[in-house]
Amino acid sequence: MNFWIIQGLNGLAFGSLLFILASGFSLIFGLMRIVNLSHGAYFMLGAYVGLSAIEAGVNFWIAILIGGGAICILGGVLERFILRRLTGQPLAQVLVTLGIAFIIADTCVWIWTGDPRPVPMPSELTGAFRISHLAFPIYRLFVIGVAFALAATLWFLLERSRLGAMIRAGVDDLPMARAMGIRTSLLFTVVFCLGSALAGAGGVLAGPILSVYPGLDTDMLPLALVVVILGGVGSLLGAFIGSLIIGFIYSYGQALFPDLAYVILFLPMVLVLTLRPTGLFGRQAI
Amino acid sequence: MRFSAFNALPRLLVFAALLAMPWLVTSDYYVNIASQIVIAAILALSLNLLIGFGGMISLGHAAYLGVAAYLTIYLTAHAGFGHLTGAVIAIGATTVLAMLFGYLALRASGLGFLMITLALGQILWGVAYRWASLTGGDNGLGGLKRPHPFGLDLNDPIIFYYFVLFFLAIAVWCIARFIQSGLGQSLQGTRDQPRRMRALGYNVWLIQWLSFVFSGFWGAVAGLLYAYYHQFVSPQTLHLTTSAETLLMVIAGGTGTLLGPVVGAALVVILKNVVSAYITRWLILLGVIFVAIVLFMPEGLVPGARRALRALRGSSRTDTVAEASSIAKDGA
Amino acid sequence: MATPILEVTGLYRYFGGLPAVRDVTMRVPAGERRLLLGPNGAGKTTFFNLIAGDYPPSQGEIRIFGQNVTRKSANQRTQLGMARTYQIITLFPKNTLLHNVVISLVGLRDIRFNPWSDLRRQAALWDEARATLALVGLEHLADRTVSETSYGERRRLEIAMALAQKPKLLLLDEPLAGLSADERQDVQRLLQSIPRDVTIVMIEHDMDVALAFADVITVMQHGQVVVEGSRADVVADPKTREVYLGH
Ligand SMILES: Nc1ncnc2c1ncn2[C@@H]1O[C@H](COP(=O)(O)OP(=O)(O)OP(=O)(O)O)[C@@H](O)[C@H]1O
Ligand SMILES: [Mg+2]
Repeated sequence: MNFWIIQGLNGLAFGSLLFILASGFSLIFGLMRIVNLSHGAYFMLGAYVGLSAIEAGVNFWIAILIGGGAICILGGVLERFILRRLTGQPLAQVLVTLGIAFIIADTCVWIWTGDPRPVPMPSELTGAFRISHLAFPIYRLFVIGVAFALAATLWFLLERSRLGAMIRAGVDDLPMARAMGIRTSLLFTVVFCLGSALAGAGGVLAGPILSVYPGLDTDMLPLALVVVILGGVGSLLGAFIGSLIIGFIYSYGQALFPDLAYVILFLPMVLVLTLRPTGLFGRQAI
Repeated sequence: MRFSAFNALPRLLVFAALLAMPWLVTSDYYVNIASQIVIAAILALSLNLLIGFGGMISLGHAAYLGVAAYLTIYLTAHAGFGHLTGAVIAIGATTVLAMLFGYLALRASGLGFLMITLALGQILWGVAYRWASLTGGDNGLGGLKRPHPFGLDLNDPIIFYYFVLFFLAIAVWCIARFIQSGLGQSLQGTRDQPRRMRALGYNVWLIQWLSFVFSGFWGAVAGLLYAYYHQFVSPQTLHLTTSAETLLMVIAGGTGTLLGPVVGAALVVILKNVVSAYITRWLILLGVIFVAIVLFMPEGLVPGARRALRALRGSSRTDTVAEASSIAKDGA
Repeated sequence: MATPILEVTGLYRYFGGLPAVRDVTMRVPAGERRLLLGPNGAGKTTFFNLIAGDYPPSQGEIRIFGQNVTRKSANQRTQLGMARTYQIITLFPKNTLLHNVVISLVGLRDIRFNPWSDLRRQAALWDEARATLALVGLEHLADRTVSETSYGERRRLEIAMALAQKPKLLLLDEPLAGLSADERQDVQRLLQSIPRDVTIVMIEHDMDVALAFADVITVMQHGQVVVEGSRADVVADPKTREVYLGH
């Protein structure tokens, strides 16, 4: 029984991190039709930047802002100066983001070496939360809280704000949105920066749980892809549910069949692609 | 009847160069690099079937290379199978995997196809990495002895080179036939006008799936030879970077040409070996090349060179293949 | 009464909540020349796309040659003996005209799944393609690539690709659009020469052409059938006037 609860919470925590990563990826893909294969690298780079900030004596919360901010700027620059030049050429855009992912990954090895580096936990959140004989790290509960808060914020942003209305219009029908006078150029940059910032900040937040290591990028990227395939293109709810499903499967799989945890990740994807190629909450096939 | 995408002359030149390679280079080291090029060329040719002729951009092609290599080594060096049985099972099972992956990836098209192939490929990588009891995990799997088919000693680099070259020749022959065949021409039609093809009575999905499986089969052949060459396989073989390198071979050489992937394979393998001898930053270079090619040379080297050649000869005819398959112009 | 070649019952198709085709019912008997008229956006092309199987209807049933094909894919319907042309020309621009027609021919032959035999060596196919091009007067351009031909020539190639398949049901979506007066006459003559065992449904804006060609005319507006009947009936009907002149 305890096992199920603890692993469930672990799955929830992992799914939460995944959601922070995948929500941005999904937004960018849904709106701009850009499959940003650098997204995993943003996550890893954000974590490294945050780690360096912490090692330089900065407090954990500021480090999250620094990690998120740095990646936000990086994403904005890449969007403006490279991806923008390739508008209307989705495959060229994908290949460029793949190239950038490699450049970032190798640069990280160069700067931060190949050893895994744990990111220290903020002192406020160390320790465990106990109910009778169950103990669960407070930090993970905190991460879960952050993801739920983020989901609520993004939902509010998308459904209730002007920016969100523009994004939704763009996701539904880009030419139409343009015809209605929405400045899609600016909108793209804003969304790309937002997604990048989430990836960067998510990386720092993940640091105390996952550590930072070379390969974190390519560990996380396919999971973000799977989440989007599962949840459906451009669907926030889909990204949320998809992240949690993958989080649970990964966590229970890891604990029950450590050899096969990765294979099991296949299953929801196989099922969804077979039975519902639009994803659980998507309206169009990917 | 101007089907033809390639003239015979450059093809003959490339093959003459490949045949004469052991005489052109002096040391075993270079002969071995030539073998690597040939194996990579088979893989790149098979990927080009999808990309150049089918318009399906796969980022998971390492799957077939890696799975066939793992199976070959596992079956022959660890499970006690003979070389021939091991090879047949490895290629057969990998082709079956291509059937499954093709089924899943072709539920989508364009970018979705790309995402699914990438995810499937990386999941296999994760399996190889984590399922250590079977795959040796990060340490990889070794212990394979090269076979002695028909009394040939494949431990001799030159003999091995001709052994793999023989497979490349067969691959090129089969793929060239395929491209001009009814199925191959149908595939090219589905690349250009899927909707029209449907209206003309073609089962677009089935044509793409059959081609996907055919491509996976040749990827598996490359994996078998890869296993014989390295006598070792590790998760790195299945990694996204391997798929990306193969993709680079295809687009650097020029998609949709028969010759391009061979030239691209030579370029990438040589570059990788040269660079690795001096610095350890291959991945950065790979990334930079990707960005540079997309931004500055979207049509690849071979069509670009051919166009330049044609311009020199003063012909005004544009190269139909180069136009057909510029990555940058392909929509999703 | 013989089974109609095309029978559509209660057909609907919505795009994002808006109906492009609304409750269309239509029966086209064998050999008929049926004309679809209607202003821009009336839903004519959408109706064709539904019959051809580009996308499924939101509601309703489609039968061709007496068979219910509502759930069948586009390629399956084509295999039954239906062919179409596109309002927006959809060809293989990098291939020769001859090659385009060959692709059309191969679509109905088993060789489309053959991974080995060289299509270039199928002399019979190429001869047949050449003959089809001759039919539409494009034989002299057979070895040009589509991108080197004029708009009018492409329109005729569209028709050639459909005719090559020897369909029993032919859907023509504005085959005269964008043609010069001379070209129109040529194409009209070509259409007149199609034997009567082919049933034709054609969309056309030009009233004169339409009237010269059609046995029965269906007028559509806002996705619905407004008037249907013989030439004389439709011309006389005040609703036709309304659709065309407004009010
Ligand atoms: N794929 C689609 N998605 C959304 N709306 C569509 C789509 N196809 C057609 N429509 C809409 O359906 C309506 C009917 O279009 P359709 O092309 O069928 O008209 P039409 O009668 O062929 O007009 P025209 O004479 O201009 O060719 C139009 O309002 C069009 O905008
Ligand atoms: Mg129309």
